[in-house]
Amino acid sequence: MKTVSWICRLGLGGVFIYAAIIKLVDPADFVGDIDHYALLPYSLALAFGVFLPWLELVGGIAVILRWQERGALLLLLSLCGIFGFALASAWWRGLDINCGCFGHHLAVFPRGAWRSPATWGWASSLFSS
Amino acid sequence: MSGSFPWRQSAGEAAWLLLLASTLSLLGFWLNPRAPAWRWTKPAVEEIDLSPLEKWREAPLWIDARSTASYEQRHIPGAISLNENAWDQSLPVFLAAWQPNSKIVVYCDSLTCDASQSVALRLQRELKLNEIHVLKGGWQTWQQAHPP
Repeated sequence: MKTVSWICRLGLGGVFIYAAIIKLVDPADFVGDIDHYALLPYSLALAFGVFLPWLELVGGIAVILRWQERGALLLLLSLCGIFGFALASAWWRGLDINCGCFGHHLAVFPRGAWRSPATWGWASSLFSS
Repeated sequence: MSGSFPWRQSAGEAAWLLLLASTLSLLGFWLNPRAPAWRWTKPAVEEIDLSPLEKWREAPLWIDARSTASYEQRHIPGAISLNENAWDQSLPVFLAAWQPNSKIVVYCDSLTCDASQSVALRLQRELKLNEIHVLKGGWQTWQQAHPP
């Protein structure tokens, strides 16, 4: 059971660390991706575009290292919820935009969209264990 | 999750992590040369009306920023498809057509679409192109001026 839990933590943390690093390499692209959702004024899209990748990175590392683990899982769950809401609203409004989930490496909207519900389930199972 | 779940402790831990991420993001914003410049409003590429554009001595290089499916249905004659969803595949086609003195005009669906601004900004940012404009009203305006 310990090994399964460790693999789950490694997988969940790894997904967020990977997503964070891709966005940190080119933060302007991620700011553009957030802006295309047309949910926030540009200044807030810029602030979130700079802040969210670091939050993903810190959260992912904390989950793997079991450092402030429940707090990290709470944050990652919240992030999944926010991303899921943004994706659903973009889909609802018929926006033809990049998902932004994994920078431009997994760019097309529907392909990246699995991430939010999948990682939400993943994080919540670890959170409640 | 029972009533004894340590919500307060979890929230405290989350607050520490938020503080750490905020500090790192401020440092990253300050130190990363690729970080976007701070601004309150969105940077915009100059929009141009169709009528003055049609009086240009040389025809511009048209870039269609709509979806590939829309481009394949119909597009401005001579336009090249370049949208963010197929950027890597379409960029070589654009580079083959581009000349150093080309004037580029990017269009998307209508007045309310944003794809032309995104593509124009990306071309400016990544290829350092200056002679680039966005067609005001996009494909809708072109269609009204050139009915089938």
